Amino acid sequence: MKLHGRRNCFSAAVAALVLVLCSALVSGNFVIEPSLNIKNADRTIDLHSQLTKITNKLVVENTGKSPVKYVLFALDAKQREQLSYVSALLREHGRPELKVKPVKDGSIPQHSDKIFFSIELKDPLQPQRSMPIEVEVLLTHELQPYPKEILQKDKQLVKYLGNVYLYSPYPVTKQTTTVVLPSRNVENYSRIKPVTQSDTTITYGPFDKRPAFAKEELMVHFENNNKFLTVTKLERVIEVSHWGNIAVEETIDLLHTGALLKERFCRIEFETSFPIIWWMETRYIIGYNVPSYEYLYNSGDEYILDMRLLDHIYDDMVVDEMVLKVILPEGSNNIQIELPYEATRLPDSLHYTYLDTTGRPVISVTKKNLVENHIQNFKLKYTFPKLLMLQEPLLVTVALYIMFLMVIVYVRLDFSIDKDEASESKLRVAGQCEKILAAQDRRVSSYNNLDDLLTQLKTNKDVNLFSSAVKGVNQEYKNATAAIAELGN
Amino acid sequence: MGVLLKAKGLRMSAQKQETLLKLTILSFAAILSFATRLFSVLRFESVIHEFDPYFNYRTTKYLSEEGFYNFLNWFDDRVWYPLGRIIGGTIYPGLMVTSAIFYHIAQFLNITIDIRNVCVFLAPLFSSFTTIVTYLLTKELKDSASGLFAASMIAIVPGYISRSVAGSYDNEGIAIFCMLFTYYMWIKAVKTGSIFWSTCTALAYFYMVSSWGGYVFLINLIPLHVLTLMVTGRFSHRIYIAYSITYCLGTIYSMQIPFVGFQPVQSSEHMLAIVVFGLCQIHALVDYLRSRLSATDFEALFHGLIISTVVLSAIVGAILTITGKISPWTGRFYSLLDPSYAKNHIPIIASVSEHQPTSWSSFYFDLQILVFLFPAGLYFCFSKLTDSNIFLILYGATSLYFAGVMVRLMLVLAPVMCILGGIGASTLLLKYMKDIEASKVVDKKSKKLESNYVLRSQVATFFVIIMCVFFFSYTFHCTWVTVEAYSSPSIVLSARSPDGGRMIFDDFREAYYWLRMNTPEDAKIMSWWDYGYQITAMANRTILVDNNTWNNTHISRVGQAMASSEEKAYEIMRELDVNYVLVIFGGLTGYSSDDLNKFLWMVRIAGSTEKGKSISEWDYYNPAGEFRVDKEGTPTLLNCLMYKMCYYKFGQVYTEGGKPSGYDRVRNMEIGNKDFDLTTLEEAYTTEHWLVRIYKVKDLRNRGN
Repeated sequence: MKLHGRRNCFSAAVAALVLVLCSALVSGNFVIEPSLNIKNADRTIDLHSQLTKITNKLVVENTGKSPVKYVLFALDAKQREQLSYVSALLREHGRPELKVKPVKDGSIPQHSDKIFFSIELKDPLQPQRSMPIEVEVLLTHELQPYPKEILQKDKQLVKYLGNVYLYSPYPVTKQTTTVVLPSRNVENYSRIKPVTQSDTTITYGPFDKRPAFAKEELMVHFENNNKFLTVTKLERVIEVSHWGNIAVEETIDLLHTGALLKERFCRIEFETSFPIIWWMETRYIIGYNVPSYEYLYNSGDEYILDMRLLDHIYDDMVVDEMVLKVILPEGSNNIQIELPYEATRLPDSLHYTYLDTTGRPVISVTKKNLVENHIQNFKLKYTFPKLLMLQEPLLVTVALYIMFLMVIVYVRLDFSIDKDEASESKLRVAGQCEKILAAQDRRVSSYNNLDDLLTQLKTNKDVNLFSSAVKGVNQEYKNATAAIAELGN
Repeated sequence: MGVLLKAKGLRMSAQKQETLLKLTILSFAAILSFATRLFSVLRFESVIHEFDPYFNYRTTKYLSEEGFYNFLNWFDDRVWYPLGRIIGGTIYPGLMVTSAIFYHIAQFLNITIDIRNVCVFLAPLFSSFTTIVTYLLTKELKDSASGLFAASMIAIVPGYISRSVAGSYDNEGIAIFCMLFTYYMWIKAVKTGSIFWSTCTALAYFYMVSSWGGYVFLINLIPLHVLTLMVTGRFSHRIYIAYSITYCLGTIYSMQIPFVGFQPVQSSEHMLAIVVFGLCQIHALVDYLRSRLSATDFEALFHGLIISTVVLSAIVGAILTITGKISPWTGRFYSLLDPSYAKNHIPIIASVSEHQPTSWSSFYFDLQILVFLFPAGLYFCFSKLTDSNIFLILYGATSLYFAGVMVRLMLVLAPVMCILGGIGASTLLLKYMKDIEASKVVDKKSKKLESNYVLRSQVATFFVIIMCVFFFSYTFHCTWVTVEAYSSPSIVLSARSPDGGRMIFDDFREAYYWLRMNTPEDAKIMSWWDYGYQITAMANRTILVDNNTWNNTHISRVGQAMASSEEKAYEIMRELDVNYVLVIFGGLTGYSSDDLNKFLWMVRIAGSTEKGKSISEWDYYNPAGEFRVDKEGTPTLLNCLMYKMCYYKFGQVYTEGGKPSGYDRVRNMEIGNKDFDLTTLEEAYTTEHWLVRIYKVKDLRNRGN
């Protein structure tokens, strides 16, 4: 829009130049700053679990003449499916986190086959200065069981294929790569010199200056007896009640993605050997309730729900696809959701449950390929008129009221077409008796009143008051007697 | 003043007080009958129980998802492979339709209850209805005091609870309600002789027919009642109208159920009803003629009529039986009349534990004081005979007989026990309660009476106290029985662990779920028929035989596979396209109703058909005539497929301290064949406590191997 506006203002000659500048600024186009250089890169590839955790400790140097605001970080496009999480921080006191933003595909010319992230530096990197940063990358499904099928008592071997160098848009002066393994048992690994293996680590490097986007395949084939479990689909439903409760229900589809079991299963061996999963697939539902005061805040009719978008399922988990559904109370509106990271918002829907009339709004969000680092909070703002809380109790009250009313009407009125003389006269007699009893009651109460007055008279000796009160009582008594006499006739 | 006002507010006419009391007691009884059936849900979870309920649950789910017409036309290819089964035409759909209606109403009202929970809680709900209808029925038969007693008793009677706890989703759960409701309508019809009540009886009967095969009892009891009334000279226009309408409409209605079809006019189980219907017409005709003719003319006509009718009906009956129009008496019905019939003729009927004759102790276990109150109630019925009392007496006597024949029919006896017990208790209490009060009023006046009847009020008080003690013990007994005996779902087992805690064995669901998740969609699973319904419902896989034991030869074929040697069994399994075999094995945990303990039945059923002639029960007994799995067992047993599947690798396991490896904790012996390998099968899965073992049938070997 801005772009459009500006084009109208300037003359055609200047427009082209401005256009280039503007588009670079506005649509977030990035360039690989030629003046940047990585002085030192220290990489650790942690293959302990089923995940690939790569920690890149970089020292970025500005050899140019102008300050630089951001550093680009690159990955091979082949890793798009595996890539789960990227984060960066400044390696200095307090380790402040740096903002990482994915760069739009194709916005860096000539490098459309790569994935870029821009790391925004808090303070621009001044010329001739360097800055230590750390970039952590998490990838899933990179470790492949090899062989694919094993016997129950066998050890699980997996294969990792990666890059021995930092895949950097900038030239790297010096770098080392350390691969950390869960066990000493390594079948095979790439002999790219210089390389040393000690205990459970393999260290490559230090390497001399390498150009940008340097690549050489790194292969490690090693024993990994950890569980290879993937949540293929997670559905997390959060139902908010303003009566103090939040119900969470997670439906989890679990798939074993490690080595398959060749031939037979044996219960005895199973109990004594490594816990290779013998279920290929399973699904379970876990539900729990939490008090809402911990997660739901309000001021007046404005509410904020602050909860985890994804919750812990098991250590080093991998979630292929997640759908989060938040069910808000009936009548909520002005719904705004604030997500901690990018995710796709699905169209809103309605959910009907107990005593609902118009339906509860459901906000759905989905995201693919998640790991533990994605366990972060989202914020959901909405407006809910407090008076609406009375709607459901009122509904029940009215329903019961109508029911009782109908019973009363049914019992009191006669719906039969023909007349039943006997029962009618019986009812009439019963009605008369009721009336007589009521009159008798009144008489008894006048006797009692008289008694009370007499005791009062004994204490305060006020005859005037007494006689005036007695008159009233007498009158009441007479009325009751008259009523009885009347009924008697 | 305040006190008086209060008293005034509370003052009610005697009638209103009575209504309030009745309503309170009745609603408490109804709530109690629902609540007492929830032990299984509280101790385990909201889960469907046992075997048959799983089938009912599966069909209900199908009905609620696919609609009624698809349900009626449902051909199920998941069962009885390769034969399949037409579900819609071979079940009583009342239960499923009832749940589906409840489910859809709940959905319409935005009550988000899932179909499983509807199924789980349906039986307790209908027990509440039964409580109310028992009150109404007893009130019609005697008075409302007896009705309240009967209602309170049926709310907790174990004989009924055994089949209606939460999760026990079976036909009986609603059928008892239907039965009592039909009786109530019938008594109303008999009392009034009105077309309205007779039609209601027919409708209630239709609901009963749609929900349980036990309707046969009902369609014999009502004609028996009419017949008895005729014989005792109590036949009247009221009875004539009531029975003629009920029978005609009821029969037409009942024939609308596909599973019942033309049976009401063909099978011999329904013959009594037809015959009585005919007799009714003749009786009415005779009554009419008698009122019009002179005595001698009538006599001659009467004799002629009787002889010709008897001869004619005998000829027609004979022709129909010979041409096969009247089906022969079915096995289950024979076993009712002659308890030894099934045992001698049909092993598959005899193998079901609930078809066994009832032991004396189980009468007391299921009915407690009702056993003693029953004769008292019967006595009071006899002492003042009415048309409706005769019905009650007949119901009591016949159901008592049937309950003695088959444990399962205790269910039919329980309600009448409660009704008669209620009548007995209330009549006795009314008598003595009066005495307590009478002595207070007439204390000084009549010294003569007092000398006549010593300690009148004390005796009465003592009696009332004793009755109260009995009722307390009844309540405690019923609750105890419910908790201990009838509230375990049998799909989840529980046991006491050595340290006193509760252990849960959830192996069945583990195994079925494993099958569901880890086997191909079209895998065929062979198991003994007991587990058929559970496998189809929970594992959603194709099975060979299930609890609807309609094809004896097919079951026998499975029995033959289980009882043969591995090589022979492999041939049968290839023939039946079996992919997996499932066995239940209790040797590690001590679960006694496992497949090896049922094995002799499998052998008997296997040997009962032409193809299985080579299998003889005696090959599985050792020379001493015992069935043993240790070294003294016969080689046939020690090498058969069932044995091998149960004990594969079991020889390496230590089950109990101080015992050798491979010690079977159910049969309490060390197994005789420990070290063997399977050639045609491989272990696919064994559950945590070894309760369920699943084997995969290997493919044929490649040539040259």
